[in-house]
Amino acid sequence: MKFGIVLLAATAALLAGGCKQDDSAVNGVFFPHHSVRGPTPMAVLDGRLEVAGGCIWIVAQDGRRLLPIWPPGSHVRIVAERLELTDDAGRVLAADGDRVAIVGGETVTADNARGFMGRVEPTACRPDAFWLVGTLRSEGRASPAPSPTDGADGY
Amino acid sequence: VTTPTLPRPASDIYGGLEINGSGCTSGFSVVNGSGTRGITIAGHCSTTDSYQGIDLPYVAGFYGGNYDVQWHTASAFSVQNWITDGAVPYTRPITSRTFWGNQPVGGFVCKYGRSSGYGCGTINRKDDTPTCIPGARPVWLRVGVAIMGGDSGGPVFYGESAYGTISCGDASTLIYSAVDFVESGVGVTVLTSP
Repeated sequence: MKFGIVLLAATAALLAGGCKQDDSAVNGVFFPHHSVRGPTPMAVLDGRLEVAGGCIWIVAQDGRRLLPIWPPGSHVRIVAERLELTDDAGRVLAADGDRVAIVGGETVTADNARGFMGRVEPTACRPDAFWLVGTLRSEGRASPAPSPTDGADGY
Repeated sequence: VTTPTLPRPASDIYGGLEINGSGCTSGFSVVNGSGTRGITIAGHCSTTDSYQGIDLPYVAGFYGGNYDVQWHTASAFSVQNWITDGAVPYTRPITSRTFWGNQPVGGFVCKYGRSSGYGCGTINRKDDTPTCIPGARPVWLRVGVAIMGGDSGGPVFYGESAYGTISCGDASTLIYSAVDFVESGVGVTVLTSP
Protein backbone atom coordinates (compact mmCIF):
# COMPACT_ATOMS: atom_id res chain seq x y z
CA MET A 1 0.00 0.00 0.00
CA LYS A 2 2.75 2.43 1.06
CA PHE A 3 4.74 1.48 -2.04
CA GLY A 4 1.68 2.22 -4.14
CA ILE A 5 1.30 5.66 -2.60
CA VAL A 6 4.99 6.43 -3.11
CA LEU A 7 4.77 5.25 -6.72
CA LEU A 8 1.64 7.36 -7.23
CA ALA A 9 3.35 10.42 -5.74
CA ALA A 10 6.44 9.90 -7.86
CA THR A 11 4.33 9.52 -11.00
CA ALA A 12 2.36 12.65 -10.13
CA ALA A 13 5.58 14.58 -9.59
CA LEU A 14 6.90 13.44 -12.96
CA LEU A 15 3.67 14.35 -14.69
CA ALA A 16 3.55 17.74 -12.97
CA GLY A 17 7.08 18.43 -14.15
CA GLY A 18 6.27 17.17 -17.63
CA CYS A 19 9.62 15.34 -17.45
CA LYS A 20 11.21 18.72 -18.18
CA GLN A 21 14.74 19.55 -17.27
CA ASP A 22 14.06 21.60 -14.16
CA ASP A 23 16.90 24.04 -13.74
CA SER A 24 14.97 27.16 -14.55
CA ALA A 25 17.04 29.24 -12.15
CA VAL A 26 20.74 28.46 -12.17
CA ASN A 27 23.24 30.59 -10.32
CA GLY A 28 20.46 33.10 -9.85
CA VAL A 29 19.84 33.35 -13.58
CA PHE A 30 16.48 32.43 -15.16
CA PHE A 31 17.18 29.60 -17.58
CA PRO A 32 13.96 28.23 -19.09
CA HIS A 33 13.83 25.10 -21.23
CA HIS A 34 11.40 23.73 -23.77
CA SER A 35 10.81 20.05 -24.44
CA VAL A 36 10.66 20.15 -28.25
CA ARG A 37 12.62 17.21 -29.64
CA GLY A 38 13.15 16.56 -33.32
CA PRO A 39 12.08 19.18 -35.85
CA THR A 40 12.28 22.80 -34.70
CA PRO A 41 11.29 26.09 -36.31
CA MET A 42 13.89 27.16 -38.88
CA ALA A 43 14.15 30.94 -38.66
CA VAL A 44 17.55 32.49 -37.98
CA LEU A 45 18.35 35.17 -35.43
CA ASP A 46 21.66 37.01 -35.19
CA GLY A 47 22.31 38.81 -31.96
CA ARG A 48 24.41 39.15 -28.83
CA LEU A 49 24.16 36.99 -25.74
CA GLU A 50 23.86 39.17 -22.67
CA VAL A 51 23.27 38.40 -19.00
CA ALA A 52 21.53 41.17 -17.09
CA GLY A 53 19.02 41.48 -14.29
CA GLY A 54 18.98 37.74 -13.60
CA CYS A 55 18.00 36.97 -17.21
CA ILE A 56 19.80 35.67 -20.27
CA TRP A 57 18.96 37.86 -23.25
CA ILE A 58 19.59 37.77 -26.92
CA VAL A 59 19.90 41.38 -28.03
CA ALA A 60 18.85 41.43 -31.67
CA GLN A 61 20.46 43.67 -34.25
CA ASP A 62 17.39 45.91 -34.15
CA GLY A 63 17.88 46.38 -30.41
CA ARG A 64 15.01 44.19 -29.23
CA ARG A 65 15.61 42.12 -26.11
CA LEU A 66 14.53 38.53 -26.69
CA LEU A 67 14.20 35.85 -24.03
CA PRO A 68 15.54 32.52 -25.30
CA ILE A 69 13.84 29.27 -24.33
CA TRP A 70 16.63 26.72 -24.41
CA PRO A 71 16.57 23.19 -25.82
CA PRO A 72 16.74 20.07 -23.67
CA GLY A 73 20.30 19.22 -22.74
CA SER A 74 21.58 22.76 -22.49
CA HIS A 75 23.07 24.06 -19.26
CA VAL A 76 24.70 27.14 -17.80
CA ARG A 77 27.70 27.53 -15.56
CA ILE A 78 29.78 30.43 -14.30
CA VAL A 79 33.50 30.35 -15.08
CA ALA A 80 35.70 33.24 -14.04
CA GLU A 81 32.58 35.32 -13.38
CA ARG A 82 31.38 34.78 -16.96
CA LEU A 83 28.28 32.77 -17.81
CA GLU A 84 28.80 29.92 -20.26
CA LEU A 85 26.19 27.86 -22.06
CA THR A 86 27.12 24.22 -22.44
CA ASP A 87 25.68 21.04 -23.90
CA ASP A 88 25.23 17.75 -22.04
CA ALA A 89 28.86 16.85 -22.67
CA GLY A 90 30.07 20.10 -21.13
CA ARG A 91 31.12 21.64 -24.43
CA VAL A 92 30.82 25.42 -24.39
CA LEU A 93 28.30 26.62 -26.97
CA ALA A 94 28.51 30.33 -26.22
CA ALA A 95 29.27 32.73 -23.40
CA ASP A 96 28.07 36.07 -22.10
CA GLY A 97 28.99 38.79 -24.58
CA ASP A 98 29.29 36.49 -27.61
CA ARG A 99 27.76 37.19 -30.95
CA VAL A 100 25.47 34.25 -31.68
CA ALA A 101 23.43 32.83 -34.54
CA ILE A 102 20.35 30.96 -33.37
CA VAL A 103 18.09 28.71 -35.40
CA GLY A 104 14.57 28.48 -34.00
CA GLY A 105 11.47 30.59 -33.90
CA GLU A 106 10.07 33.74 -32.40
CA THR A 107 6.81 34.10 -30.57
CA VAL A 108 5.41 37.34 -29.24
CA THR A 109 2.52 35.50 -27.62
CA ALA A 110 3.29 35.00 -23.93
CA ASP A 111 0.84 32.08 -23.70
CA ASN A 112 2.73 30.24 -26.45
CA ALA A 113 6.04 30.89 -24.75
CA ARG A 114 4.78 29.89 -21.30
CA GLY A 115 3.42 26.70 -22.83
CA PHE A 116 6.87 25.90 -24.16
CA MET A 117 8.57 26.85 -20.86
CA GLY A 118 5.99 25.22 -18.61
CA ARG A 119 6.19 28.27 -16.37
CA VAL A 120 5.80 32.03 -16.23
CA GLU A 121 8.92 34.15 -16.63
CA PRO A 122 9.95 36.46 -13.77
CA THR A 123 8.79 40.03 -14.19
CA ALA A 124 12.40 41.17 -14.65
CA CYS A 125 12.70 38.84 -17.63
CA ARG A 126 9.65 40.08 -19.59
CA PRO A 127 11.00 40.44 -23.15
CA ASP A 128 10.06 42.15 -26.39
CA ALA A 129 9.56 38.60 -27.72
CA PHE A 130 10.48 35.03 -26.84
CA TRP A 131 12.74 32.80 -28.91
CA LEU A 132 12.41 29.03 -29.05
CA VAL A 133 16.02 27.90 -29.52
CA GLY A 134 16.75 24.91 -31.75
CA THR A 135 20.48 25.26 -32.24
CA LEU A 136 22.94 27.97 -31.30
CA ARG A 137 26.34 28.85 -32.71
CA SER A 138 28.80 31.33 -31.23
CA GLU A 139 30.51 33.64 -33.66
CA GLY A 140 33.00 34.94 -31.12
CA ARG A 141 32.98 37.66 -28.58
CA ALA A 142 31.17 40.81 -29.63
CA SER A 143 33.21 43.99 -29.83
CA PRO A 144 32.83 46.03 -26.67
CA ALA A 145 30.51 48.97 -27.02
CA PRO A 146 32.51 52.16 -27.64
CA SER A 147 32.90 54.44 -24.67
CA PRO A 148 31.91 58.09 -25.07
CA THR A 149 35.57 59.02 -25.29
CA ASP A 150 36.41 56.52 -28.07
CA GLY A 151 37.23 58.32 -31.31
CA ALA A 152 36.51 61.86 -32.27
CA ASP A 153 33.39 61.16 -34.33
CA GLY A 154 31.76 58.39 -32.39
CA TYR A 155 29.08 56.33 -34.10
CA VAL B 1 17.63 71.86 -63.59
CA THR B 2 15.63 69.29 -61.74
CA THR B 3 14.82 65.95 -63.20
CA PRO B 4 11.44 64.64 -62.21
CA THR B 5 11.47 61.14 -60.84
CA LEU B 6 8.47 58.93 -60.92
CA PRO B 7 7.88 56.34 -58.24
CA ARG B 8 8.34 52.88 -59.62
CA PRO B 9 8.71 49.40 -58.17
CA ALA B 10 12.28 48.72 -57.10
CA SER B 11 11.95 45.21 -58.48
CA ASP B 12 9.86 42.09 -58.33
CA ILE B 13 9.04 40.20 -55.17
CA TYR B 14 7.80 36.60 -54.96
CA GLY B 15 8.28 33.31 -53.10
CA GLY B 16 11.62 31.74 -52.23
CA LEU B 17 13.54 34.96 -51.58
CA GLU B 18 15.75 35.81 -48.61
CA ILE B 19 13.83 38.11 -46.32
CA ASN B 20 16.04 40.23 -44.09
CA GLY B 21 15.30 40.87 -40.48
CA SER B 22 13.36 37.68 -39.88
CA GLY B 23 16.06 35.31 -41.14
CA CYS B 24 13.43 33.53 -43.20
CA THR B 25 12.34 32.75 -46.77
CA SER B 26 9.30 34.22 -48.51
CA GLY B 27 6.55 31.71 -49.27
CA PHE B 28 4.02 32.82 -51.84
CA SER B 29 2.70 36.07 -53.19
CA VAL B 30 -0.80 36.74 -51.86
CA VAL B 31 -3.70 39.15 -52.16
CA ASN B 32 -6.33 40.09 -49.60
CA GLY B 33 -10.03 40.81 -50.08
CA SER B 34 -9.46 44.45 -50.94
CA GLY B 35 -6.86 43.69 -53.59
CA THR B 36 -3.73 44.53 -51.59
CA ARG B 37 -0.85 42.29 -52.53
CA GLY B 38 2.04 41.05 -50.43
CA ILE B 39 4.05 38.01 -49.43
CA THR B 40 3.88 35.36 -46.72
CA ILE B 41 6.56 34.09 -44.35
CA ALA B 42 6.27 31.75 -41.37
CA GLY B 43 4.40 32.99 -38.31
CA HIS B 44 7.39 32.22 -36.08
CA CYS B 45 9.65 34.59 -38.03
CA SER B 46 10.26 38.09 -36.74
CA THR B 47 7.59 40.57 -37.77
CA THR B 48 10.18 43.23 -38.67
CA ASP B 49 11.15 42.44 -42.23
CA SER B 50 12.65 43.95 -45.33
CA TYR B 51 13.70 42.96 -48.81
CA GLN B 52 16.55 44.67 -50.62
CA GLY B 53 16.69 47.13 -47.74
CA ILE B 54 13.07 48.20 -48.12
CA ASP B 55 10.59 47.60 -45.29
CA LEU B 56 7.80 45.09 -45.77
CA PRO B 57 5.01 46.30 -43.45
CA TYR B 58 3.56 43.57 -41.24
CA VAL B 59 -0.19 43.01 -41.55
CA ALA B 60 -1.15 39.88 -39.58
CA GLY B 61 0.25 36.59 -38.35
CA PHE B 62 -0.58 33.42 -36.46
CA TYR B 63 1.66 30.78 -34.85
CA GLY B 64 -0.16 27.86 -33.26
CA GLY B 65 -2.89 25.26 -33.79
CA ASN B 66 -3.38 24.90 -37.54
CA TYR B 67 -1.27 27.89 -38.49
CA ASP B 68 2.26 29.21 -38.87
CA VAL B 69 1.98 32.20 -41.18
CA GLN B 70 2.25 35.98 -41.36
CA TRP B 71 1.92 38.31 -44.28
CA HIS B 72 3.40 41.62 -45.25
CA THR B 73 2.47 44.18 -47.85
CA ALA B 74 5.11 45.02 -50.43
CA SER B 75 3.92 48.16 -52.18
CA ALA B 76 7.47 49.16 -53.12
CA PHE B 77 7.71 46.03 -55.25
CA SER B 78 5.91 44.41 -58.12
CA VAL B 79 4.30 41.37 -56.49
CA GLN B 80 4.46 38.42 -58.89
CA ASN B 81 2.81 34.99 -58.87
CA TRP B 82 6.22 33.34 -59.03
CA ILE B 83 8.59 31.40 -56.83
CA THR B 84 12.26 30.73 -57.26
CA ASP B 85 13.35 27.11 -57.04
CA GLY B 86 17.01 28.04 -57.23
CA ALA B 87 17.34 27.81 -61.01
CA VAL B 88 18.50 31.44 -61.19
CA PRO B 89 17.72 33.56 -63.18
CA TYR B 90 14.53 31.68 -63.97
CA THR B 91 11.39 31.70 -61.86
CA ARG B 92 8.50 29.25 -61.68
CA PRO B 93 4.96 30.58 -62.10
CA ILE B 94 2.34 29.55 -59.56
CA THR B 95 -0.94 28.94 -61.37
CA SER B 96 -2.91 26.75 -58.93
CA ARG B 97 -3.25 25.69 -55.29
CA THR B 98 -3.49 22.12 -53.99
CA PHE B 99 -5.31 21.97 -50.66
CA TRP B 100 -4.69 19.67 -47.68
CA GLY B 101 -7.46 17.29 -48.72
CA ASN B 102 -5.70 16.62 -52.03
CA GLN B 103 -2.24 16.01 -50.58
CA PRO B 104 -2.17 12.27 -49.84
CA VAL B 105 0.42 10.33 -47.87
CA GLY B 106 2.84 9.06 -50.51
CA GLY B 107 2.39 12.19 -52.63
CA PHE B 108 5.48 13.88 -54.01
CA VAL B 109 6.29 17.53 -53.21
CA CYS B 110 9.24 19.87 -53.56
CA LYS B 111 10.46 22.77 -51.43
CA TYR B 112 12.78 25.70 -51.70
CA GLY B 113 14.54 27.37 -48.79
CA ARG B 114 17.16 30.09 -48.96
CA SER B 115 19.66 27.96 -47.02
CA SER B 116 19.02 24.36 -48.11
CA GLY B 117 17.89 25.19 -51.65
CA TYR B 118 15.74 22.88 -53.72
CA GLY B 119 14.69 19.39 -52.68
CA CYS B 120 11.84 16.94 -53.01
CA GLY B 121 10.37 14.00 -51.12
CA THR B 122 7.22 12.05 -50.37
CA ILE B 123 4.63 12.94 -47.77
CA ASN B 124 5.01 10.56 -44.80
CA ARG B 125 2.20 11.96 -42.65
CA LYS B 126 -0.54 14.49 -43.11
CA ASP B 127 -2.00 14.41 -39.60
CA ASP B 128 1.11 15.24 -37.63
CA THR B 129 0.97 17.26 -34.38
CA PRO B 130 4.58 18.47 -34.14
CA THR B 131 5.76 19.85 -30.81
CA CYS B 132 7.38 22.81 -32.61
CA ILE B 133 3.90 24.25 -33.19
CA PRO B 134 2.12 25.45 -30.03
CA GLY B 135 -1.10 23.49 -29.59
CA ALA B 136 -0.68 21.80 -32.96
CA ARG B 137 -3.77 20.20 -34.44
CA PRO B 138 -3.49 17.11 -36.67
CA VAL B 139 -3.14 18.93 -40.00
CA TRP B 140 0.63 19.17 -40.39
CA LEU B 141 2.40 17.39 -43.23
CA ARG B 142 5.74 15.64 -42.79
CA VAL B 143 8.20 14.93 -45.62
CA GLY B 144 11.56 13.14 -45.54
CA VAL B 145 13.71 15.95 -46.89
CA ALA B 146 16.32 18.09 -45.15
CA ILE B 147 15.90 21.78 -44.40
CA MET B 148 18.19 24.28 -42.71
CA GLY B 149 18.06 27.44 -40.62
CA GLY B 150 16.67 30.30 -42.68
CA ASP B 151 14.29 28.11 -44.71
CA SER B 152 11.22 28.87 -42.57
CA GLY B 153 8.35 30.20 -44.62
CA GLY B 154 9.70 28.95 -47.94
CA PRO B 155 7.39 27.46 -50.58
CA VAL B 156 6.33 23.82 -50.87
CA PHE B 157 5.05 23.07 -54.35
CA TYR B 158 4.76 20.63 -57.20
CA GLY B 159 4.86 21.76 -60.79
CA GLU B 160 3.11 25.12 -60.83
CA SER B 161 0.87 24.38 -57.86
CA ALA B 162 1.26 25.83 -54.34
CA TYR B 163 1.08 23.10 -51.67
CA GLY B 164 2.16 24.93 -48.53
CA THR B 165 4.96 26.67 -46.65
CA ILE B 166 7.87 25.45 -44.52
CA SER B 167 7.45 25.53 -40.73
CA CYS B 168 9.84 23.20 -38.92
CA GLY B 169 12.46 20.61 -39.71
CA ASP B 170 15.93 19.23 -39.27
CA ALA B 171 18.55 17.34 -41.26
CA SER B 172 16.07 14.71 -42.41
CA THR B 173 12.57 16.14 -41.97
CA LEU B 174 10.40 18.93 -43.30
CA ILE B 175 7.13 19.86 -41.61
CA TYR B 176 4.88 22.18 -43.56
CA SER B 177 1.51 23.83 -43.43
CA ALA B 178 -0.91 23.16 -46.29
CA VAL B 179 -1.73 26.15 -48.48
CA ASP B 180 -5.36 26.33 -47.32
CA PHE B 181 -4.14 26.96 -43.77
CA VAL B 182 -1.62 29.50 -45.03
CA GLU B 183 -4.52 31.37 -46.61
CA SER B 184 -7.10 30.99 -43.85
CA GLY B 185 -4.59 31.80 -41.10
CA VAL B 186 -4.30 35.42 -42.21
CA GLY B 187 -7.20 35.89 -44.65
CA VAL B 188 -5.36 36.02 -47.97
CA THR B 189 -5.35 34.09 -51.25
CA VAL B 190 -2.23 32.85 -53.01
CA LEU B 191 -1.76 34.63 -56.33
CA THR B 192 -2.23 32.24 -59.24
CA SER B 193 -2.24 34.78 -62.06
CA PRO B 194 -0.21 37.94 -62.86
